[in-house]
Amino acid sequence: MNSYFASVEQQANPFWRGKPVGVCSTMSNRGCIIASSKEAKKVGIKTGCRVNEALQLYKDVILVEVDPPKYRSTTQAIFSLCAEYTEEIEAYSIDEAFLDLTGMVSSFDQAQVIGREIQERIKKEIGEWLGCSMGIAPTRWLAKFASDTAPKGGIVLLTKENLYKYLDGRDVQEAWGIAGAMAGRLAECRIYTLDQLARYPVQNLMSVMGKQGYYLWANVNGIELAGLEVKRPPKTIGHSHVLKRRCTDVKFNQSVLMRLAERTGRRLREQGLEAHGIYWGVQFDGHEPFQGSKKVHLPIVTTNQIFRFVWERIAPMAKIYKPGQLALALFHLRPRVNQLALFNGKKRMSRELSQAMDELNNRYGEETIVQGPLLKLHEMHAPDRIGFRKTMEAEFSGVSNQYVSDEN
Amino acid sequence: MAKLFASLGHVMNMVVIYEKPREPVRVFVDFQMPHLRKGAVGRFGHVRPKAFLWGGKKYKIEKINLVFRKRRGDRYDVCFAVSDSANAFVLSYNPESLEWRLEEVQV
Repeated sequence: MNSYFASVEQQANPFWRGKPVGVCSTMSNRGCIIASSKEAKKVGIKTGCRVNEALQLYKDVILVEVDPPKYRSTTQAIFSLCAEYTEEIEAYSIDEAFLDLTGMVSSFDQAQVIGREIQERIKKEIGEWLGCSMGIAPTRWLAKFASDTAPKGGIVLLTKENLYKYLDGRDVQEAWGIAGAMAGRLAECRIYTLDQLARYPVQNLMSVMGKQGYYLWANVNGIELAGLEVKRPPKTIGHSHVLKRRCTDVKFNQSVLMRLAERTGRRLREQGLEAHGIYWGVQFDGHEPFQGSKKVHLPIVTTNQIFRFVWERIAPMAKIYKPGQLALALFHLRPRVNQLALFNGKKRMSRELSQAMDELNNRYGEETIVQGPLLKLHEMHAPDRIGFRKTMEAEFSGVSNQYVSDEN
Repeated sequence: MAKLFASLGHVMNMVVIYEKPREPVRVFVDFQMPHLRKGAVGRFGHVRPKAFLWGGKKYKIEKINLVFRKRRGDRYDVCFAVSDSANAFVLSYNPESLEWRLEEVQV
């Protein structure tokens, strides 16, 4: 999708269309613009720009705070629409997906027709301001490369016949997965463009770069290496937050940590998992990050377990130094088995309490009932945030067509 | 509309003015039935807000721009980003209690 978050905001508010719009992570001068509209890009406001810099570049820029449910829901609607064409779909990120049309179409031209149809249906059924670029190619890597280099709202069709012509003269850094360091290594082999990479003797490349050399060569030559990624359970679940208020107030820091723990714990339990490892990280103002991880014997399931584990480790420092960023994550995730410990009866009560709280929060909304430290913490602290990659835990079907926007 | 304020007051020169009233509002809704909708065989009727009353004034919805869902526990509220001739609004609909709320007003 093109300028996705900003386009969704312009879709929701028609008075912002045709004007520079920036979607900010937080509404402060040091806040970062995570998506800018095509009009904002024209005046030099790019993704990653700070709010104060954006205002210097264009004082009338429209800045809005990120609204994750809006983007997640729109993504789900778009992916559900794509899933009508094929079951083989990989949600690569919040605004990118791979569709495997093998067996569905007999030629690339037919695939292009489907591509055009999807583009039109997105505009007609979801929002007329939502544009997407597409790449159609024989492999996943080439499709991504074609999509990245396609004009806004356009389709690039790459076949074995036109592949080398398309690669001709393109900088290696235009390709997916090749950035500064890799480009430097390729430059040592006198490879500066993608067509040079495609025609380079693969044995020589492998002798310099090993397996990575073969992967690069195979990708640009249209040899499929991986195919679509199979949907699998997450490897980690975690949350982090840059604090708006920096202080040594124990109650405040505990409450922010509890919110992160609660959000992490809710996702863990919702997916029927338990964790056997935990990571924590704190950035104290003016100090090196303090972080660590530990594998645990007894599974972590409840919010309180997560909170206590992390707080016990960071508390001595948090009482002296001001935390600027808090992060925690769970790893070694396994399906939950509810095996109780032989000598610790409290764990069972804790799990039952956690389950009861989850049921109440499911029924009446998040944070209807909370652990003590979370009481009275304003929603502006550690709010819901959007993840850019592999965030789609939801299925792509069953979106009700009962509620629709006006057809265009 | 008397309560409009710049929510971004601490940032200079911000031009977006909006408020989040989150107030229950009365909404005029078109529950279009399947048999009345062209090509609607086997589909549900639609929930389509047409106008709403807020602050003693009736706002006629000219266009539904975007429909999205907002999580509430393990359920979802349906949000309608709508606009009249001058303003944009976000209305949320709770399909269980059938309650409508005005979530956002953007000028």
